[in-house]
Amino acid sequence: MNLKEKILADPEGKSLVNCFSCGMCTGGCPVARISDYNPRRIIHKVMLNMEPEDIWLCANCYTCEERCPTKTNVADLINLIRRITIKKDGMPEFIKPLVENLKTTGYTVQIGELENKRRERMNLPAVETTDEIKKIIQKTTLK
Amino acid sequence: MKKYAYYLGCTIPFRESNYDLSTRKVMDNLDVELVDLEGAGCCGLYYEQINELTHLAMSARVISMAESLGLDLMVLCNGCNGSLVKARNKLVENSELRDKVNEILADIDREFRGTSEIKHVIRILYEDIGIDEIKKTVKNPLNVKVAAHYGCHLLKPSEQIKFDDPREPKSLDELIEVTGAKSVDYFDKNLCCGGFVLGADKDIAYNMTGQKLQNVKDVGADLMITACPFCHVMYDANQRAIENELQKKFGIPVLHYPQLLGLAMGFNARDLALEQNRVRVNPGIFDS
Amino acid sequence: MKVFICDCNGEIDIPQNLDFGDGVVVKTSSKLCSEEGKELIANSIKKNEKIVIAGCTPRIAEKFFAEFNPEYVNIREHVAYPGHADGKIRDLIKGAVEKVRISDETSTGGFEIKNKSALIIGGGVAGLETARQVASAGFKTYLIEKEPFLGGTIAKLDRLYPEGMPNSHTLYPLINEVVRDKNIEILVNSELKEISGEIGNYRATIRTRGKVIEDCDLCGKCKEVCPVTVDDDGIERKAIYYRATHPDSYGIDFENCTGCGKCAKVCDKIKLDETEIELDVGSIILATGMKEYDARMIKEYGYGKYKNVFTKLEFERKFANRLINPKKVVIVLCAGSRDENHLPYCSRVCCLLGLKEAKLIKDTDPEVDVYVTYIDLRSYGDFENLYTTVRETCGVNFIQGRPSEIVEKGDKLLIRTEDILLGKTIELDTDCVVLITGSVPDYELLEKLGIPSDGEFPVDYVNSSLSVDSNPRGIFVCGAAAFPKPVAESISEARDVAVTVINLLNKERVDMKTPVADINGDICSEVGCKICLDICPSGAIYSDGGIKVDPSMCMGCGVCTAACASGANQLIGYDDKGLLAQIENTVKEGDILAFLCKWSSYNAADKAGYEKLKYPENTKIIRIPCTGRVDAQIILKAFSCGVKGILIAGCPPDGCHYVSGNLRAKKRILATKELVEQLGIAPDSLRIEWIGTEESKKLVDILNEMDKGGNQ
Repeated sequence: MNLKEKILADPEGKSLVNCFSCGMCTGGCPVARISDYNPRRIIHKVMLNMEPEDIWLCANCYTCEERCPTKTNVADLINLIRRITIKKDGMPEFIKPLVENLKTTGYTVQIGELENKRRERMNLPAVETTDEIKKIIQKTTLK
Repeated sequence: MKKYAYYLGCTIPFRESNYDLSTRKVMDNLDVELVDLEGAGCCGLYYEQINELTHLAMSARVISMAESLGLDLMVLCNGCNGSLVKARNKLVENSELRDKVNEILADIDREFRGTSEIKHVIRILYEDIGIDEIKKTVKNPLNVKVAAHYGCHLLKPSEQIKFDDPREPKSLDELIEVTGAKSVDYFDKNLCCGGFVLGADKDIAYNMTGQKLQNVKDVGADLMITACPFCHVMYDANQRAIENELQKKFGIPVLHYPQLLGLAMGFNARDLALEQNRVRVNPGIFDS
Repeated sequence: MKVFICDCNGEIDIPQNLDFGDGVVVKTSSKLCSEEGKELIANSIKKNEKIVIAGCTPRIAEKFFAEFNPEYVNIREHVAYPGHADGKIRDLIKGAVEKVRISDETSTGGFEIKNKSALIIGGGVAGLETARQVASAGFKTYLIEKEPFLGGTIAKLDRLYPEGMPNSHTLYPLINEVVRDKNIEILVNSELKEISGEIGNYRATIRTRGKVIEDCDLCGKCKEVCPVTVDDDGIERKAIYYRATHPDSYGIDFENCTGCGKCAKVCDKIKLDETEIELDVGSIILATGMKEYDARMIKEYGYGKYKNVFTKLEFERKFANRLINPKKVVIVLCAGSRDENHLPYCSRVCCLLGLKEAKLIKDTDPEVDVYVTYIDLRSYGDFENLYTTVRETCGVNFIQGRPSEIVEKGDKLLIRTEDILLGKTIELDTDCVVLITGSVPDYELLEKLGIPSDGEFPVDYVNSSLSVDSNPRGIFVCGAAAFPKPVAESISEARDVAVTVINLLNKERVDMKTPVADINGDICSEVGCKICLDICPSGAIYSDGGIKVDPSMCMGCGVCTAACASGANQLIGYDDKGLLAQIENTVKEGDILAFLCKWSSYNAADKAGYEKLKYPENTKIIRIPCTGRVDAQIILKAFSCGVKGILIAGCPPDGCHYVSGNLRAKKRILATKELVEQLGIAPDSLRIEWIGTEESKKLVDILNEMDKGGNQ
């Protein structure tokens, strides 16, 4: 299956076909305003079976989705495109450390002595790490 | 007495414990009991981009912790709010997904049932407690000009979150005004902080954060108020770096909303860990 | 009962010794459609006697025999032409005979046209033109207008598109004609309160304040003392004001008048009282014109928040009156239109109105910088000339893209939009924004007149009210109230409606044209499920205590009858017992039974006959108004009679004569398949298919497949 077929096969991807390329998403996109990022073009390229670009630049602010006149779930579609792309090409570098931290601590960050000492001084409960997240990740991704 | 399961997520205990502290103070003063979730871990937000099932299972795990206490879940972070609400909605609507997720949770002796609601602290203050109740606790009305920053996932996607109106939000403004402060209108008030794109492109993220700091500065606001630890990191912790990057000077103190409310309730700067905010806050500005 | 069988000049071999049981007399003819043939029928039947005519397809037979209201049997196209044996003729006629024998009386209801008069609601161009036409045919015509003056929206405009002609060119002569016509009674400041009655005999209750000043000399003193200032689409005026249309007197805008009485103190001719009057009319025409979508709903565009964001009407009036002098204007087309969050439809005229505003600006001051944003520019037909003119007018820039938001920065407005052709987001700064919003239907009046709207314009109702095969109702919609349209189109539609109204009022009586559903109140009230209420595609079923059918709204599809579990709801002519008897007497063990929609698939079967296509002889075809009439009971009956396959075929998904009867049918048949399976019958032996009039080949292929037990 190509990208478009994969999107249409996913319950989250059904709204792809709603888009009539009016540009309202891009016109209000805070990232598009300061870069070449263009969510309308991402959707349009997927429709034409072309490789979309800049998929990691969406700030996930959902302005596009709020305003879309055809109820195309633009931001959710871009999340879906990211998931499909990761499955094919692997994770982009900047996500890898987050995932590593999740596996070791249960959080996206390393919670060390320093943080918990500060919390103790502030009379706040210490943060406990958990291995449950690691189990979830292993169970849901090793297939 | 109101009671919530209290969920911090990743950013707060790591970098924004002042948000945690001030929220506890404020909630205590409003007679709200918070029950800590031990080893609560991450809500799974990033896995929305990586693997849907992992995201749903991680979110469901956090929600199940509140469910086993029989409490609604209070979240402080917009990111957690969006991630948990979206996951909950999906799992409530789709029994097939729910079964799949519960199969995974069974390994760690947990189960998602859909009995607890997810509520952002701003929503709890605005809807569950209400402006009138909060007003009664204000002992020290503040005399400052404040720029409110709602952030994105407190309100959007609105079809999922169903709180306030993202096109013309008013909850945080009203919560600010009840402290005696003036919530000022400013250019591009609904602009995103850019935090989510920081990893992929720092320049874009800093540019977005910087634009808003400039707009806040342009209207002469004394400080900025956030409702999300990550937005706070962008505007407060990263403000110096952004100033260097953009060759601009902002000098805008950024407070977590409960810090502002705490001051109006009469807590002192130390009670609210105001000294941990990176851009120095001169407590003198609050005097009437 | 009599059965007339025609052999079509010997084309059909009629079996000998036909006997259809007690009291059924068979007569044959070789050309029943001739004058002699029709005389034969007329002379041999008693009044109201039920008859069956067997011969050619009802598509042809209906041209000749409608007056006898017979049950038709198609033994030519469906038996003789495909070369089937004559035993099939006996079966088909027997089925029809038993259907007719057991069916309830098929009465062709009708209405008396008592009141030779019409009520027209709305004094804009559409209402004025309808009034003028109906009155000129000699009928009494009441023209009511909600506002104090005639003219409607166009009276507020500076000019009309595409020529840029001042509105007075169209409006003044029309108003003059209407005012001069003695058959027309004009009632301003008047609104419809309610109606009762039926076609030909409506009673309309009107709340009216009429013309508030008799013999006004336009001195204007009233206006000076009036304390209420009103923003009238961009122009400030008092609540008492003068508009140069009709009547030629000051008038009061009662929507904003506080009733303080100051005007009446300076002028003793002013009367402020309201009365109710009742008008007896034969027909009612809704012509309330354009109603703008509320631009405040599009919060991203800041209308009502930023002072220089205008609606099209406000802009045109302010600009024409020199109340604003922008140096740069951005005209936003599709503001809130084609948008699931606002108006999902295209209001058709907005692009043209936007182009007109662009031209107005350039005609007035070529120095003004004008931008137009659009998604698709829809300058259909001749209006392409307007687009060309505006494009060629130096300086009007077109940007493809739907603006995402409008924000204010200093004294400028910023329009944030993608320029799709550049593939880039741009920020247009401007002095002034014109929002070209779409139109909305007048829900309140549509409801009062019993016209279903479903949140959109009543397009289906408008089409059916003018169609030749729908039952007469006598309530029409024309002009922009029916759907947004240009002035010229409104006027021509007004003429269409006027012709229909005149034809109606010229008659003493009008007959029903299609079968209608009838509900047995006693049975219905015991069940009280109300399923049919929502299911009716033409909004003919209503509840006033009990569930009832408005026969003038019913299109005769039978979807409601099929949905009725209690049997209370029966489509006359296609009632349950009639159809069940027809099935029982038509089919034999191992037959294939086809229920074919008379609008499409039945014609395909006729065509298969003309083409001499081969299909199984054991196929028996029953003609139905819509696939939506077929229900589980009918299907189970057919299977219990031993048929080996059932085909239900009708119009393609978007092409149902009754909007959605075919889709209802599909759902129902799919559900019935499960039921059938439980009874041990292969679900594939029940099929629903879309077969258009031309698709004889498709029909034949399916029937052959079913005969072989295939299941594709």
